[in-house]
Amino acid sequence: MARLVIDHHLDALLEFTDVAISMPRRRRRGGTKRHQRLRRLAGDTRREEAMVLDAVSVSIDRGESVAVLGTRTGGRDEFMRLAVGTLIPDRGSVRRSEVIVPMLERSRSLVGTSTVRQNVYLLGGLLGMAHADVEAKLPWIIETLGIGKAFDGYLRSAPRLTRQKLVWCVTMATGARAFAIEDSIVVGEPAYERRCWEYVEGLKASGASFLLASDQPTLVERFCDRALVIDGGTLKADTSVNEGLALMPKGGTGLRRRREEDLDEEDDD
Amino acid sequence: MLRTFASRDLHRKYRNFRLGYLWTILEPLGMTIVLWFVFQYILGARKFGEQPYFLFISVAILPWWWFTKGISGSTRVFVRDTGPLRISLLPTQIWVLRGVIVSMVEFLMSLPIVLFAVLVTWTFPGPLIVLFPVAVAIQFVLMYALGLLVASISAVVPDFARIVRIVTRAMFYLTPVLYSIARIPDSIREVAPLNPLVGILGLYRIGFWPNETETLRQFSISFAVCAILVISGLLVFRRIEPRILKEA
Repeated sequence: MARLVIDHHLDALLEFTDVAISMPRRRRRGGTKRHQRLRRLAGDTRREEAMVLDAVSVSIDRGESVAVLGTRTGGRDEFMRLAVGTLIPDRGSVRRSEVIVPMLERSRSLVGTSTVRQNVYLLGGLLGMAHADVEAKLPWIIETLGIGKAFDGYLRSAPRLTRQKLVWCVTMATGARAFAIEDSIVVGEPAYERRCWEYVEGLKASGASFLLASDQPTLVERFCDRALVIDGGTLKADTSVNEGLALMPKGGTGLRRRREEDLDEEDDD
Repeated sequence: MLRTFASRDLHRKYRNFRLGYLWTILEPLGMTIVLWFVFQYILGARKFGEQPYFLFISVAILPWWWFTKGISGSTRVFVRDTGPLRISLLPTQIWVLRGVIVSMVEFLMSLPIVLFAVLVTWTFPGPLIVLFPVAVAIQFVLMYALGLLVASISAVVPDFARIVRIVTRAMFYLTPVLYSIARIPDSIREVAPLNPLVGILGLYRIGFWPNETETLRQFSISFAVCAILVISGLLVFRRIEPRILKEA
């Protein structure tokens, strides 16, 4: 389908050409319900679109590990979604030569009232894995996840950190050669993180590509070779990691807020 | 993956009921019996459809049930639970397709009602019953395209879901479910095939009443309207898809 077309003639992994996109911004309504209904009938929907990315042109080669730096509201999230193909630009084009598997907004993809096993199948399906692919990778996922009998229990009662480990395992089990990752490329407790590091560094050495939207300087410095700084809807800089970190917008990056949202959603489930 | 999604949706739908999947039969069967009783006995002075009337209603009410369930379900596809759309590498259309498949599975599971009606009335179909699966296939394609149309418009215009509800209720009486097309007054019989379900229901029934069916012209008009709706659904969805993804 149109948004997920793979361009096999493209030399680079990903190419943004003069991309622009506006997104709906919801504003809290005021007044009573009756007033809100009257406003809606009058066409005052209190919805407006704001340009979140404008005139973005960039090319990312295969095998590169690129840090995408900036605030959530500055266009970073939309950049990642456009790269993966879960958004369609209003103007310009996004071309990719390989499937880029997302590890974004992990809490949205999981269902607390389903078992961990069911979540593996669901998430695998969302990431484009066929049923047989998930079956084939299941032993590896079970072994890597390492939660024993809790694998067939409900996700909401699974051990701590299971969610992030589950998303990490299924994402890596896709066998993709390109990933778009938010927050952190490694998950879990320190020992588990070390295992993740070994795995992703092995992938990187074998030529896999990574887009990492993170504002953890140590992580970015350790893993990425290049940085894109996105702020105010434009590509401010396409530079080295150190320079990119120096140029990062000051103020709240949104990371803490996102983590709080994750925790809230886990509680809601 | 459609199988995984569809079986999960079905499981979630029926897991809380003690009779489980039996409701796929009991619900339309109850409806069929009530309609049969009302139109055969209470309003029985005038014949609405072909005889035996119980079989006549059973053959059409199940596809109608599938149609209304599928279309009304489509209004909610991009309104609730849209989080996975933000990370999904699957085509967006799959969200509509899985709903249509679930409602089709329910329809297929309710088909023993037709068998029951055949045995009760002891009326067996002729060779044209082979058109029954053709009708299922055409209805599936129509519902997929209409589902895309309804789901995408409902995502951007919330009021549209209510309009769909009114239209489907009106269509129940404007579609030859309870009556045959032969009972429609001559003055409006020519416009009746503009309803795409007229041709589809005609195909479902032709195996049982080969002589009391729509004319070739009526079938042609009805299927032409189906084709127009299918193309419209695909085009409208293609146009609205970027906005659906933004709203997810």
